[in-house]
Amino acid sequence: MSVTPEQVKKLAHLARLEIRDDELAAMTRDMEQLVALADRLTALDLSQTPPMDHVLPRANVLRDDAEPVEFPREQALSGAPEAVDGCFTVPRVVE
Amino acid sequence: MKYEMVIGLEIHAELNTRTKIFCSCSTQFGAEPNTHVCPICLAMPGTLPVLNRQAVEKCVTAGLALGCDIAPEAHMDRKNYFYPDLPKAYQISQLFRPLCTGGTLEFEYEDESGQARIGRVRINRIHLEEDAGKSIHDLYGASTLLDFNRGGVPLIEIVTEPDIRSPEEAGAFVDRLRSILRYAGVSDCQMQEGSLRADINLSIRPAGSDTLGTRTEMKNLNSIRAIVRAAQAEFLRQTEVLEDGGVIVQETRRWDDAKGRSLRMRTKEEANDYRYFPDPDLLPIRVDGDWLRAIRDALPELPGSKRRRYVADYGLPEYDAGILTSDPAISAFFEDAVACGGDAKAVSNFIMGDMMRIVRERELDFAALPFSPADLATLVNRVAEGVVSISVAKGAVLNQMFEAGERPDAVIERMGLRQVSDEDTLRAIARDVIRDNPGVAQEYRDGKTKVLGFLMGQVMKKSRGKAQPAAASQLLKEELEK
Ligand SMILES: [Zn+2]
Repeated sequence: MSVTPEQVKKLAHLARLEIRDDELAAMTRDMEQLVALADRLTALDLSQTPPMDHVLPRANVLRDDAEPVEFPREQALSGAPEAVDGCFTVPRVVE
Repeated sequence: MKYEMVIGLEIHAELNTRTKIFCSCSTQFGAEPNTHVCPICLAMPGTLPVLNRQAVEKCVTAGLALGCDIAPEAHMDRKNYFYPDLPKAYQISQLFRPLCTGGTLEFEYEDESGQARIGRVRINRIHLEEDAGKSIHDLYGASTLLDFNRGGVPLIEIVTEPDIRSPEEAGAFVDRLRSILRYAGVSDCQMQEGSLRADINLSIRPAGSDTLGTRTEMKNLNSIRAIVRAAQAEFLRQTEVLEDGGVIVQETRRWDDAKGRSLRMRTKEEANDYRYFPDPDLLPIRVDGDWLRAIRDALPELPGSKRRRYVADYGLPEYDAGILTSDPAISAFFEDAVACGGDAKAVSNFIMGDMMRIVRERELDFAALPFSPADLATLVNRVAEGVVSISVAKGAVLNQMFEAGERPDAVIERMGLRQVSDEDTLRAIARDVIRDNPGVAQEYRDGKTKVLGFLMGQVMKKSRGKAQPAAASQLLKEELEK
């Protein structure tokens, strides 16, 4: 499967990555190689192989809905570049 | 051309667990901003989610209540998009292997013309996911404020097939669904607080056609009334577009209930490409065998079966049974009052009439009234015993019970509300009424006997509602005919 520069640009946009025009060709080549690697799986006959849902052979790793635990707000906000009225602040987002 | 509408719904209900879906923060609504957050729900690097067992159980419970198949194995997936209220830049949800699939909800409703109908809506799936935080858009400032208290609260999303054909049917579906989720004990379903949210997918097509038209999605519907109005408005809007020779654009619209119209939010081209993939941080969920049996055994009686039982066991009319079972707190109050010895029919009349009106007016909750079901049973029995008249019971006594939580017997004694059946007292009142209304009394004697009702009204008024009606009426007739 080939990868087009447009697809790379779209993925970069969706991932909010900035790619310079002079990086695009190399990035497209890399992507193509990644896809080719994954495509090798489709060449195998896996009809008798059950899907591996997770790398760990476990299920139902759960916790009980017990007493809530508090966490200090100052600490929660301490890493934020800016906080107002107990809220994290970001540049204005318009819907 | 005549068009028909095709509606499918996506309903989000916040589960009423104590803690969030992946961390031990409280889910309590209305707390100070960011007081229910921690490194996990704030997406600090290096943290790992651990799924809340009861959130899984409540999702499965909802599925069982709606007749869904429960997947023997389910997975959590990542839905990727950037928005400041989503700190991980992905929402943990279920796309590929949801917990519940299939299912049907049947319900009665009245169509536009008041005709009783049965709605039958298929459920496509119910999946488990996390809620996002809340953005506060400062009107004047240059920033958006973020409160993550809601971020990570467990949600179920219920997706229907496009089986709904009218706004009334859509409203009734959500109403019944809300009732079932409350009975099943999985969600409080407070639409005003946003713990139940509905999105409408609506398209139109020539009546009788079986192809689907281009649909729009309507968001921000926070009451049943808004759902009905938004569906009506969108049907008219799409009809106008087609009749003007236009085409429907697939887009997301936002309902403005105050203005009674919707505005475009984004078109399909602007829509996100979510690039779902299985979340490697979370292991598969297997609900089978004993666990599934235990969840099934714990499922409470649902409104449909309760309604049938009220009709069969208590002889209540269908309509009354429907109202009493519409809310678990109301049906619990009713059943407790009957268990305390109140006559079912009389208890039902009190609840459906004056109590529901007062509860609505004062914005009270049946689960937390100032008096008990036993008090209501006592009051109903005092009426049956002739101690108080029905009008005094529903008026002064009930009012005082709501006002001060006073016991009915205490109110009756303290306010001197006992019904008067003493002959001398009643005869004196009857004579006074005849003396004060000589004209009307003469009409009665001239054969116009229906004026008796007016005179009885005067007797009741003079006795402040305390005259025992049968005795008073008998004595009034005797005095008139003298
Ligand atoms: Zn948390």
